[in-house]
Amino acid sequence: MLKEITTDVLVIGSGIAGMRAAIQARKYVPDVTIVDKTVFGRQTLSSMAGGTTGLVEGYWSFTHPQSVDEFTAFHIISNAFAVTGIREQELEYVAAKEVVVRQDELKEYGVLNPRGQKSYGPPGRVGWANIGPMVEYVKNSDIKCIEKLMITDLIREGDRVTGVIGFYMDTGNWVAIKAKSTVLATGGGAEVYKRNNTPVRATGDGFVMAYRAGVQLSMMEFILFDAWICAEPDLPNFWIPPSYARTLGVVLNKNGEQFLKNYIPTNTNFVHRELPNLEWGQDLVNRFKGVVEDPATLDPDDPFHQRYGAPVIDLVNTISRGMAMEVEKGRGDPEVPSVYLDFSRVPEEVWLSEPKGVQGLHLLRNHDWKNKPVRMFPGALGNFGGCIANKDCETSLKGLFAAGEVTYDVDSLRHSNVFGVRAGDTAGHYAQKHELPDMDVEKAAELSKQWKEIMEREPSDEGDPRKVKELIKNLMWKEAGVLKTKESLEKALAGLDKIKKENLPKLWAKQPRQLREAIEAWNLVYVGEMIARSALMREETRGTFNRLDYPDRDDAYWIRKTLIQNEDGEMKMSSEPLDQPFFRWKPQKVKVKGMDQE
Amino acid sequence: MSEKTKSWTRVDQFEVTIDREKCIFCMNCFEACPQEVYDIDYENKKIDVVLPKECLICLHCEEACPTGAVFIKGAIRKQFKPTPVKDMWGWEGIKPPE
Repeated sequence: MLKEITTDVLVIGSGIAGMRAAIQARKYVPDVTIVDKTVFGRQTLSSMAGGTTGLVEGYWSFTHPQSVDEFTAFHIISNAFAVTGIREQELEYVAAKEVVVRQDELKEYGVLNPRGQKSYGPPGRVGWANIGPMVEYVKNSDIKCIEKLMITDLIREGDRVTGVIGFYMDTGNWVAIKAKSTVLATGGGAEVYKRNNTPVRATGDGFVMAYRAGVQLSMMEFILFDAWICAEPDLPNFWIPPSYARTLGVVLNKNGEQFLKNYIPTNTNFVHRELPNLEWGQDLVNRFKGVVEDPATLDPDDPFHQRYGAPVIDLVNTISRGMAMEVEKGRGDPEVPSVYLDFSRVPEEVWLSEPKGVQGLHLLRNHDWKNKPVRMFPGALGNFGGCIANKDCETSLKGLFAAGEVTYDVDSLRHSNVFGVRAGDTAGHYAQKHELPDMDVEKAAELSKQWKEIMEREPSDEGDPRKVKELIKNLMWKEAGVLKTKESLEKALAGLDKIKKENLPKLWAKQPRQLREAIEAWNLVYVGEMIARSALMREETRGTFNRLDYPDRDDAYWIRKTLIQNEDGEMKMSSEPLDQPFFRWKPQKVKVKGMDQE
Repeated sequence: MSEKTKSWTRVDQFEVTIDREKCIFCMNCFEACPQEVYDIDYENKKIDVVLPKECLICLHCEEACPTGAVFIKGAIRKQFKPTPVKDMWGWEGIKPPE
């Protein structure tokens, strides 16, 4: 028999979305519980990267929007981080409206200067200035905090989610948590790729949990591949914040060429190039165009702005594509698949200065920058796609809400911050209006059986959770990485199928923490399959999604979202046109610069 | 190399250390590490440092340790202060190549 806990609102995950949801829900109901499969805050993408660059200031300073409309327009029509054009426009609008308020609110939770922190500091810690104080705040509040409790399944009665089951890391005891409303804020699954800059626990558990419970997922093929990831073989794959990389470094290929100009439309504003594609909303666009074309919006002190005539954060996907294409064409480093970031022009006093110099990165401070470029290559940072949730964070199941990276149309902390609060609002409100649902604990215990079996198996090489994880990560990076083709994706699917048949049934664990890894490996297989299947469907190149066999951007057909649904254990794929209430794209094919080379 | 450079710890001198006497085997360092630097030796009830080269020196483990048993030798413990955007870029004397 499972031990039972009851609560009004249950929040799963302790990143910025989860913590904001918990704090917000507490304003409605007295009993809020937040759980995490490990210690709070530290295994979250919010703490790893970005700082507040993912929040408003970075974008704000690039575009100087005059209104919410313009801010929305920028995100929809610009070549923003992951995708070009296929943002959920309504969600973008909501995010644009609330982002500044939500960011400033962080002050209440002890964040010193929510607008001021930029992407400085040692890798793995850039966002801690936001997350650290919030963890303290949540722990000191009367929100119930349960660390080291892994949630494995959502329990569903009809179309209502009644709670979850999970197990404690320290004791291995299973528990059922009944909740009036459940908030999924479990983050993404970029750990499915070998080269990544995410914490090891970011294994997409939320995606798979929701998928198993019957929630529809969308746009899983879009992965945020960040270009600025170190590829030195004796250093970890860490993110070199653009504040160091792009302002100090010059990106070169093996032949010493600045190849990025072949991929980035030089001396032309990116946004400007995209504008004529719009069918309507032209007056707003024109206003916006004026703002973007104004030279004042480009920072005269930023060499990258000057060199490419565009704010580089817009171009991260273009730079990743460029780097990957150079390596593909044999113009990368001969040893490691990578290109060079040349810092040789940086004078010593700059390299060593505090805090702007590269010494802040710790790991590069002894690098012989005068003579040796730093090798770098894109790596996975997060998932753009995820569970479908509306602007109030409601999923298709009653009592289940989702916010942050686990939902779709998320490319930054900005979204997690805004929608975390919205999820808290909706979940709290729902919990006020509804009684505690009945949970069939017997049925819940049944569900836990398949995981408990893992603990009873004999150890074997094929079933070693860590080895299975490595297998998946290497396979996905090789076959479904930055550049994809039909053949490679089919190979990825075949490989995953093989792992499903040969490795998953043999997964074993002797300790609760090993069981966690086994379940993570299990989840990664499904995340990989979702990515590969959706990628196979999307026959175009757009944003971070590059198909070598379909090098054009297809605005005629592919302003669509791919959909994934669980139908009796089968992954059912479909797609539907994207709602375009504000801007509509001209139905035409657009050449993607750099993809049609040779 | 200047005097300033010499006084720094070299990257290869970073060391992840665990004081076995202080360690209470709570596994918080293992939980907090985003890079799987640590592994657990259940038989001998101790934490092993298995992938020191993966260490980002983020100090999450140090902070998560309740007894101060984990210590990263040679890490910078300086807090980075919030800096205005304008100060981020613009290095005098560095011009992009033509």
